[in-house]
Amino acid sequence: MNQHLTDEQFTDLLLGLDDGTAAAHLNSCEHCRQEMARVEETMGMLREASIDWSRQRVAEMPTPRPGFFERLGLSFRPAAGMAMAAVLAVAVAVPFLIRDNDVPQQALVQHMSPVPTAEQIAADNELMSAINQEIAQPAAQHEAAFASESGKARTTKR
Amino acid sequence: MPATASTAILSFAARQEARTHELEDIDGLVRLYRAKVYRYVAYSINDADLAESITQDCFVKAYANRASFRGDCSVSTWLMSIATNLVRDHVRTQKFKFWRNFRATAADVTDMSHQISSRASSPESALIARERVEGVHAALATLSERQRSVFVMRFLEEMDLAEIAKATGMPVNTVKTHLHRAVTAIRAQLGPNASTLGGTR
Repeated sequence: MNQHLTDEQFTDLLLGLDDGTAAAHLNSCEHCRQEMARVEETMGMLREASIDWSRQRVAEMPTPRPGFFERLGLSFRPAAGMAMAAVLAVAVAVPFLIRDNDVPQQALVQHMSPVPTAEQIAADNELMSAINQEIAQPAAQHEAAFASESGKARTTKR
Repeated sequence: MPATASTAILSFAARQEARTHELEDIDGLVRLYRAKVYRYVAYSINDADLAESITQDCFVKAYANRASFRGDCSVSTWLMSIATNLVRDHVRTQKFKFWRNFRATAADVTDMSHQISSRASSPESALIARERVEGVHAALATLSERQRSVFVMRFLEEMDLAEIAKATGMPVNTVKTHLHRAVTAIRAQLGPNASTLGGTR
């Protein structure tokens, strides 16, 4: 066979994706066989050198003390996150609560002013009158009214 | 339920349990995978110091998100996917000129060349090996971050295409395309086939 492997065939063979055609060519082509050996050899050297290098580099790095990552990981746990959120919420809300508390106290003082308005007196009298009427009704009328109300409620539910 | 199905479920549950346990033991995880993640990140960005920082971020992120690990890939692949995202974040946000000035600031490669010297059987073999590895590094400098990442995963970490696709979030065909480009660039950089080292490894 005169033609050598194409780049694609060569890479497929290197990646183990060859359907057998390229492998068959290697058996009969010294040039392609040597090229494959050279590339595989180079990749092997690169791999070994990089493994040695990275192991040496990592050995020189400061080793995290046992528990280092667990301590870091705590901040990512939901419970810890919620606790942090609660602390923040309290920290943010407390100044507002303290400030807001002053306002209702002033309003409460105004509301409890000893001089009621004419509308307040009229509304209070109306309410007292309605209560008196209710109290004055006989017990039988209360029961009848209660039974009537209950019946209406059941009908509405259906 | 058939015995084989229940056995499969029990086996799956046991594997899940083992993986969960593996993720809980973060110190063990760091011991086991730190060099691998570091190597991958360092090659992807060609910055040894930044790679150290990103590697640590990777483990912090893995530990914080261990509950989201579904066990549909190995812990190693999962860590590589986290590292890939961190590398991409840095590339996007910092706009590093990672490999542009590679030849001028190749301190890390010089380090690596010493490693080659210590393994080679003769000074001549060491010289050829060093030239070839430097040639690969020069070719990697011309690739995109994604092409470099899949190259490192395939040829340095020996991951299969499905694992690389999982770790990078790329379709398998895209991974293959990147690998084709990377291999072609490296072969071009290595030059015409003159000889093999023959027995130096």
